[in-house]
Parts: sequence; structure tokens; C-alpha cells
Amino acid sequence: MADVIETPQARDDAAHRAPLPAPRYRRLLGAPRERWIQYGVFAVLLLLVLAPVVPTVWQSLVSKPLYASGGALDPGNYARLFTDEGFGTVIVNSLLLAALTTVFSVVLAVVLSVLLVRVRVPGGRVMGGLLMWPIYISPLVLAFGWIIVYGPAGYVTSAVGHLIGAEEPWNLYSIFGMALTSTVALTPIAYLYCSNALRMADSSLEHAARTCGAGPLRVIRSVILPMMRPPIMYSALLIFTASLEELSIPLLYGKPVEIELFGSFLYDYGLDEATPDYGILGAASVLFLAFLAVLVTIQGLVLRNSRRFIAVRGKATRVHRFDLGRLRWAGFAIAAGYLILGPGLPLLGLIARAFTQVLSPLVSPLKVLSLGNFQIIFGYSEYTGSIGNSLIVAVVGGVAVTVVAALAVLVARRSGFRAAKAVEFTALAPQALPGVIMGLGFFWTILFVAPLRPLQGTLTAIIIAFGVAALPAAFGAIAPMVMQIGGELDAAARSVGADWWRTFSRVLLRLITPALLASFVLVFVNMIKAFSAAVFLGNADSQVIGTTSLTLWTNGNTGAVAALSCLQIAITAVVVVAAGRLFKVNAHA
Amino acid sequence: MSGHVSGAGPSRRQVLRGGGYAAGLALGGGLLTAGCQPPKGAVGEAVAAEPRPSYYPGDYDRMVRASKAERELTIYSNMDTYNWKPIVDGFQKHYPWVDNIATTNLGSSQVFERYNAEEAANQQKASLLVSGSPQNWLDFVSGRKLLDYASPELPHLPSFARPRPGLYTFSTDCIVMVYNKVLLGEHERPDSLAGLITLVRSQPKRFKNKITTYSAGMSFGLAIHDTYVRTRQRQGRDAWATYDALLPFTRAEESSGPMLDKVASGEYLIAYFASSTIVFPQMAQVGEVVTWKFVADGTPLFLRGMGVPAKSPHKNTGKLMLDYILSHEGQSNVSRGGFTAYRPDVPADAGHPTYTSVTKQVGKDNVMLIGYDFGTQKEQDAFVKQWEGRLG
Repeated sequence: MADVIETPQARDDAAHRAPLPAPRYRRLLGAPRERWIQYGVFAVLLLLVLAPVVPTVWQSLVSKPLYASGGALDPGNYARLFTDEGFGTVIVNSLLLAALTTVFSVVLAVVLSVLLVRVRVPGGRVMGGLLMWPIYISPLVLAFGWIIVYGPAGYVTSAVGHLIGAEEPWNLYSIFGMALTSTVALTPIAYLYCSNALRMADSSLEHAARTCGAGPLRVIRSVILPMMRPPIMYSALLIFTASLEELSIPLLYGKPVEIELFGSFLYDYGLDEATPDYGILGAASVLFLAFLAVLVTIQGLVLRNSRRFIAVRGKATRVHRFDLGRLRWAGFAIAAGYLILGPGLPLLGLIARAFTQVLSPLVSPLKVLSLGNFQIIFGYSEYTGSIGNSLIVAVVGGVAVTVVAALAVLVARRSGFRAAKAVEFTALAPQALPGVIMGLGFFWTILFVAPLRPLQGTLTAIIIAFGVAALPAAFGAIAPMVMQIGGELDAAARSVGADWWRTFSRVLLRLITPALLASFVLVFVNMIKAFSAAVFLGNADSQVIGTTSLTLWTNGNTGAVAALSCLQIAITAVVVVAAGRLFKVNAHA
Repeated sequence: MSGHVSGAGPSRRQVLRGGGYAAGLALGGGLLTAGCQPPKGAVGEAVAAEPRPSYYPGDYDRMVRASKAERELTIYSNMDTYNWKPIVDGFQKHYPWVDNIATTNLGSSQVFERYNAEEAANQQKASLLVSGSPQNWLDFVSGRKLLDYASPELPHLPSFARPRPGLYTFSTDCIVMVYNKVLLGEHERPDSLAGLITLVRSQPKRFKNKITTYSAGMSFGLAIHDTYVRTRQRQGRDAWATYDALLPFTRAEESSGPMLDKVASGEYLIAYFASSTIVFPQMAQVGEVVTWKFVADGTPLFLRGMGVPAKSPHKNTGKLMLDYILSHEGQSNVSRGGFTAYRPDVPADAGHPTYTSVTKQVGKDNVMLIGYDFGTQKEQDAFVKQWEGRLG
């Protein structure tokens, strides 16, 4: 990471550093370089976020699609949105789903991260790795795995039904069922943030508590948990908005039983209609954006006194693991139980589906074993090409977004920049933009801003759209860690003459390397499975795994979708492990 | 159809070599996909360049020559790559210089939204649109966005081959009934809606939420159900009675893919009005547990439309492709791609029924063409409301 961020100039400076006198920094047009960097970061962020937002807001105010001439300014879209008879129910259902998912995921993530990072639990390290797996697959595929196992005719459903003699022991096609599935899909985000924070936790505070006679449980409750507030807040906000706009799970579970949610509502109006009502789409996303502004403000208030969360100070400490005695087996049972029931069995179902012609409790899977699904993928260059495209998108995007997010965090949280708050808000704003809107917004911007037209249908356009969508996740992965690092380290660097930029590149950067890795991994997995924006931006040569899955899915090739997901999981696992190795080497170099 | 080949452009030997290469590719592809894909061996052997039918106009060569300057073709469709493969391979054998054919697969309405937006910015990419979205086609035609091209194949096709000026029919895809054959015995698989009504009424508990169909809330489903009701009403029968009986037992799905998957898993026992374009190609896979029948008292046939946009960048190649798809060979490849061919001289076989064979089997009165005859937006909205109100 260091090499990417460090400018040639910085390296140059380092080479010619005189032993004693404070370094001198070149000034550009009379301003120190940090001023340029800060304004530059802000400008880039603003442009990236406004590109999809401006057409969306504009669309919400005109009566016709943006491309059609003669649309008049007209607030009628909002009126129609609120008078749509179903909209009230949609909002209530979506908020309920989002609230349930957020609570479930955050509680699970906190419990699991404390158990697996700070407590000696048998197999803790391995289970921590396994916990991240659901993040590698798209919610569409996860939901499809859940239906195989827990659906009305699922394997576990039938087995339990036989056991207790009930026809339908539970109903997956409900808000509660959706919440459980999205919990499994989104818990890794919260776990990633929380476990990172815990690894950095300041043992001296815990030692202080121990000195006062607190037992391990008391330390966890009174010291560790309160220290986790920043990762909890960031991940809660991300999960809340992600589940609010979630599309595939409501489509798969909700459609057959007529439960309508925000994502499927947008989909109905935007993609499914013969004449999409872009006005309603625009109005709904502007509302969504406004709602998010409120949430981000609340988040800001909760984290106002950010000095309270500082855990890394000038003095290094070692993370200590608690020994809970026999209670550790209870911890093991919780973690293992979740892993088997939540992601484990559905993933197994997915793999079984990939290697069979048809998967049904009615026929033995051994009778229908087949490699046919993989042959479909490898038989057409378009399908294999989409895997390559996805890899390019995810790797390039992962690096680029991490760099941009790191700079954004730095300017927002670690500088005297006047518009620091605005930088943070801008970086977090994309989470208010559902993928459908993001894709459409960029599509319009590219079409109507002449110099951008060469981007049309290219992978670059897809990288930018997916990247902007992933920016909040990257910001959220880096920000809590930066907040944990004490300002005295900066002060020390500044007092020996380093300017703002060198303080970052020489001190902070090294300390937040784990967070940068976490951010890269998060962005990578987000981008390799993303698809909605690419539906608008891609063409025949720039298909990605997500869009290919979608066409395969709608054509009934579910086995091929499962096969493609298995390949995607395998690729992601390899890249993530490789990145881990690589970054670790760098961190110690 | 490609007598022009030896005269202009590449030599005959080059073409044959190209054909051999294509055959090798197809063979390799066939081996790889054996047993899992329907269009296998689509262009199995290098056919000798067959002379263009005598009814083609004399100046057709002008268009062919013009296509040599274009050399590429972008198609926006709501179909998948493997559906296109036999058609594209066949086309390229006749017009090998069109070496860059891109088929972008979008949703049925997205095909038009994408084109409209690109046209507004004067950035047209597509030279042929293929999609099964009647309302969009009507808007497209009334917006005068379609090239009014008269194909030389037209006299050899049924009247519905060109529903509107410039708008052609790609295929007439049949809509069928699908069963889980493990859970339903031979005698329990009705071949008509009337039979289905009798069956669910005899065992209401067993069939509650266990039958499925397309949701009328999306354009494809609306077209099917609306056409069924209109056709029946024209025949002086009460079509709503069918829905009164069936919808309380029904869960509606958005696409035939999930329908088929859930019939296979046993979540549904029967899907009525599922799309053959999805069901037929998948039979090789799900044949162990799933089977299908025509609906004897009402088989909808969906007219998938196609046309060359007036402002397309590669008009000549677009027209060549359109004519090819309408030709005898083209329609055979449409059939191999998983669709229902409607050209009368294309023979049907077990896995690939045609318009002629379906009509023969269920009778002319029971075939319902889903074309372009719809009510106003208001009537459609009212229909959807009535339909959805009857769901269980």
C-alpha cells in the first residue's frame, strides 16, 4: 500500500534527507502541499459522487425521462410517490427489515468478534476466517442457497417437518426470514470492523480494570464493548442502508407472497415496467438520500467526542486474550452453531447445486451428478470473459478505492481542513444510492457530458460506478482505526519537522496498514459480486460475473449460476489470502 | 443465400476453410457442452454456399457490398449468448466479413430504454433490436424510430410475421404447463386449464400455494394473462372464471427460471403458463423430476419482436441479419437456439415444436397469439388490480 500512496516526490525527499535540519517542503503557488492534497481529495470526491447524484435529483424534478425532450419542471413525482397506495407499507416493511437485520448482524458481530479475537476459544482463528465467507457471494446466490436448505421444500425444512410432524415448520418467505438471510449476508461487514478494532484495542485500559478487580466478563462489558462504538456505528449505518436497498432477497422471498420492499419497489418501477417511471425512481432515491443525511448526522453526534476511542498511543501494547475456563466451550458452540446454520449449510447447498443437473429432496443428488454447469461457463468465451473482467474490476477498483478512501479519512479526520465534515459526508453519501440509481446516474452523465462519452460501455465506467458504491465501505473500514490512533504520534512527527503529508506517509500509514488491507478486501469482494450498476453501464464486451449470473438466472440456468458463484468464491479466496500474505510482508518490511 | 461469396470478397477456399474452422469450433463446443445445452452441434457441418433464393431482389448485392464496409453488428436483445450462438454462427458463414457481432443481453424493456437514451445523446450502438415486450414495440413504432424495411422473405411467412411496418416477428414462443413428475402421478398431470381447475378443487389443501404462474404485475406476465382473457372474451366465454378458480391457489413468480427451479424442488407442483424458451433448454437437466405439456384449451404463443432502428450505425448488416433470421436456415437456427420457429417450411421435432406443429396439436382456436393488441394504460392497470386481487 505504501508504494501506491507515496508520491515520487516524497521518496525523492527521503533520499536526499539531510541528517539534522528539518526537511523543507516545496510550496506550490505559495500554498503548502497539504492544502493542494486536501482540496484535491475533496474535489475528486465531490465529482465522483455528484456524477450520479445530479442526474438523479434532476430526474426527480422533471416529468419525463432525462433523455426525452420536453420534460417540464414538476414536483409531481413526489406527490405520486406519496399517493402510491402501496408506498406506506413498503416503507414500514423496509424499515422493519433494515432494523431487524442491523440489530441481528451487529449483535452477532460483536459477540463473535469478542469471542474469536479476545477470548481463547478452540478454533477461534479458523472460525474467524470462515465467518467472512458470506461476504464473497452475492445476496442473490446466498438467498438461493437458503431456499435450497430452508425454503418451503428445502432439505432442512422437510427434515424438521418430518421430525415434528408439521407440513411447514417455518416460513422463510417472511420479513423475518429475509432479515435472517440478510443478517448472514451482512454480518461479515460488522465483524470485519469490530474485529479490527478489537485487535487494536489498548490493553492498558483493560489492565487498569483488572487491577481494580474486574473479572474477564466485566472487562468485556465495561471496557471493550464501549470502546467498540465507532466500528459498531459505522457498520450499523452501512448494514442499515444496505438492507434498506437490498434487492435480490426481497425479490426472491417477497414476490411469491407479495411482500413489497424498497428495493423491489424501485425494481418494479425502474426495470420491470415497459415504460420505467424514472421520475418516481428519482424521487424515491432523493428521499433515501435525505433520510441518510439524518442517519449520518446521528452517527456524527454519537461519535462526536472521538478522542474517547483512542486506543493506540505512542506506547505499544500486546493484545491479550482472555481465558474463560470451561465457558470457552459455550463460546465455541455459539460461533460454530452460527457458522453451520447461517452460511454453512446454504453454501453446501450451493456447491451441491453447482455439481448436479437438478437439486431436489425428491431425487438423490448422486443420480444427477454432473459437470455440465461448469461446462456451460467454460463453453462460452463470453462467460469466461466475464470472470476476467470481474477480476480486473475488483483488483483495480480495490486498490483505487482504498487509496481514495484513505485520503478521504485522513482529510476528514486528521486535518485542519475547513470542509473536513463535508469530505466525510461526501465519502459516505454513495450508500444512499441504490445500485440501480448509481448505474442509471452514471449512464446519463456519461451520455450527456461529451468528453466522457468514450467511457460508454467500458470496464472503466463500471470500475468507477462500482468504486463509488464501495467508497463508504472502504471509508468505514479505515476511519475507526484512524480514530483509535492517538494524536500525540502526529504531534511527535510534526515537532521534528514533518509536514502533514509526511506525518501521514511515515507514521499513520504504517499503523493503519491492517485497515487498508481490510478495506481492500471489502472493496474487492463488493466489486466482484456487484451487478446492478453494470446492467446499465456494460455492453457485450464488458460483462462481469454479476451480469452474467443475472442473464443465466433469468434464463433458468440456476445450476450455471451456482457454478459461477463457486468459481467466484474460489477466486476471491485466493486473492484475499494472497493479498493478506503480500500486505503482511510489506507491513513488516 | 451466399452465392455472392465467390464473386466478391474472400475466395471460395477461404470461405470453406472458415466454415471448417467454425465446424471445428462448434464440434469442440459441442463436446464441452454435451448433455447440458440444447443448441449443441448447431452448425455441425460446413454447408456449401447455397445460392440465394430466386425471389431476392436483384439489387440485394448492393446491401451485401455495403455491409462489407460496416463489418460489425451490435444487437440488443433479451436473450442469452447460447441462444444466439446457432444464429450468429450460421450468419457468419454467409457473411464472414462481419466478424464482430456483439449480442448484449438486457431485460426486455431495458433493450428499448438503453437505445432511447443512446439515441437522445446521438450515440447509437445497436443495429438490431430483439425483445419480447409488446408495449415497448408499440411505443417504438409510434415514435417512428424503426426503419420501415420490407424483407424479401415476407411473402413466404404468415401474416403475423410483420405486425407493424418495420416490426418483424422473431419467433412465436409457446407458453406451456410444467409438472413435478415425482410428486404428481401420470394421471394427475392435467393437459388443460379446465383439468387443472378440477384437480385443485378436488384437493384444495394439497394444492394451496403449490401452483404458480407469471405475475400479471410485470409486462411479460400481463401480456400472457391479458391475451388469455381477451381471446376467451372474444369467443364469448368467461375467462375470469379460470382465474377465479386458480388464483386463490397460486403464488406468482417473475420469471420462468425460478418457476422451473421450484417445481423441480417440489415447492410447486404445477406451473401453468411457463415460457418454453426457458423450460425446453433446461429439460436435459431437470428431466428427472420435471415434465411439460401444451395447454390444450389455451396455448399462448408469444410473438418476440425484432427490427432495425432507423438511426442505427450499421443498417445494412442489421437488415442482412433480419433477413437471415426470417430465412429457412435462419428459422431452423432460431429453433435450435431454443425458440419456436414459425416459418411454415421449417420442420418440427420432439424437442423443437414450431408454430405449425403446435397449431396442429392443440387446434387453431386454442392457440392465442400474444401480439400487439392491448388496451389503454388505464385498462391494463385495472386488469392488474383485478388479477392481483384474486391471488390467495
